[in-house]
Amino acid sequence: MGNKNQEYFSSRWALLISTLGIAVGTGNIWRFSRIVAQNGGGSFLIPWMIFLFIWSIPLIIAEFALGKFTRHGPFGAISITAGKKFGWMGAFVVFVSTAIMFYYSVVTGWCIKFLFSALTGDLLRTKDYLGFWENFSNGYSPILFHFIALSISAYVIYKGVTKGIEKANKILVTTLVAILIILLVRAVTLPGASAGLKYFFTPKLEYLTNYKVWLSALTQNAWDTGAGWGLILTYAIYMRKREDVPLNAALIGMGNNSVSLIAGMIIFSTVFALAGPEAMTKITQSGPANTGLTFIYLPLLFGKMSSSFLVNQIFAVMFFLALSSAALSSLISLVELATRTFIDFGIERRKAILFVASLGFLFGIPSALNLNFFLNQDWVWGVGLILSGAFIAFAIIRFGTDKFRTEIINGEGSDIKIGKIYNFIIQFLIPLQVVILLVWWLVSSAQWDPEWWNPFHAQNAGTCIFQWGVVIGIFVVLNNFLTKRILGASK
Amino acid sequence: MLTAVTAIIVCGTIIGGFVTLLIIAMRKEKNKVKNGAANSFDSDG
Repeated sequence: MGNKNQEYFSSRWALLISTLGIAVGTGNIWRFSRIVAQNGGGSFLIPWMIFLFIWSIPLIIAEFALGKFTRHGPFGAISITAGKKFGWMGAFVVFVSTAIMFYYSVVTGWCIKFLFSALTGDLLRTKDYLGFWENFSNGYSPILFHFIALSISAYVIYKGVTKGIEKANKILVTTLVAILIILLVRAVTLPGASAGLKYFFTPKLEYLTNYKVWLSALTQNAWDTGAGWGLILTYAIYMRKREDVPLNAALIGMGNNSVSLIAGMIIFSTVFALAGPEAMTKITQSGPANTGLTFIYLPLLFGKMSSSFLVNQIFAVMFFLALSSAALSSLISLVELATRTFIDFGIERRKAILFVASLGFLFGIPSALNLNFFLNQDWVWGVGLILSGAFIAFAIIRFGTDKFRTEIINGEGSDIKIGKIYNFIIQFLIPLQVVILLVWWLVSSAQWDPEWWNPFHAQNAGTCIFQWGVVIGIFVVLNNFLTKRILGASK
Repeated sequence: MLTAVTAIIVCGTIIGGFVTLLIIAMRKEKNKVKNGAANSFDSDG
């Protein structure tokens, strides 16, 4: 498996920083704080921490091991481990992450636009923040910024693993962490910030008995760590044979959640210090496409940070630079996943990048122009990630969980050995969590949409089942043809 | 009191766990480099 011309990450630290770039995205910054606020502050943090160990880290371990063992992207990796007749599952994993790439590039474009506006000072000069966002999002400029975001990512991928992915992530992740630490120091020293920290860390015990808090914690872990997306699996193709799996996986999971904790402390301290009694209302409002807090409310707060325009501008620039770095490092991995799949089919890297970037630009345009379309895609493929995680766990079960654990995870290069508890998590806990999550999300959508079966509504069960069904149906029909080609190309 | 305990448990487990694992990884990597394993660029898995 694999080929002799393959590139490798130059060191363990390069692999770790690049993989951390996948995991740390805008979800750590804008989604985490909102979900914490909606689920009782500190009460949410306890289940969120538990699911890190029984969902995220086991799946990150699985992805690292699958990529290192098979030297193929998710499609080839699942075809090899689960068997040729299940190749369509790998194709689905690739499709879900690629569909996310189409609109995530638009989100990255929004971050870049707000970074530009903060740099020019326009963002802080405006008095009407909602109007500023609406003028931008309702016009055509999101297409331009979507193009910029995708072009940067395609260029990084074009430069290769060491000169592109590795180098870019070293800059982006380091910038992100450095800025978050500076912002943390400023945020917690604002007068009144302690009220925010108190809310963030105080558990309300009645929330712990509410099943919705637990489900939200599981969902946040599923969406925010990148576990089960197939992205870590793709980067693991480029890890050396004598590289560790379990310790690296635990570092990624904990590193990602550390970033969420720091971002949470920044946002809660800032919002409580500068917004006063209305803080909770503002922080729980998701706004259009979950943008309320990040693109409408936070710019307003940056304007109030001090009496100096320049100081406020510096903090706004730093925040949107951190957000753009987080978004770009994740977008790069999404583009690489799609590109790597075409490479696995025997297509030359340059041609694959050109094709993926062109496809990404075209299919991202509807999300750039229409927030309802964006919401639909975010909903359908966001929930679809739960299926992706299930398919990865299924591939391991088919391969033999104990064999996978002892021979691949605990194989050559492993710094620590994983015990039999891993078999139990993959065989029972992950499938159980998948079933509970899927049922909950689909049943919940029926409550907010009486026409839950209608596939043309933006966010309901019908549109998920319809779009997943079409994609799975196509891949099942083409299964034999595609698996023969992908496995044949690597021989 | 409850706030402080929660903050210590959560930050200790996540951020403290991350730092501890990072130190372990650094030591393991140092040993690998000593043994020459980390510098072998394998061509295949």
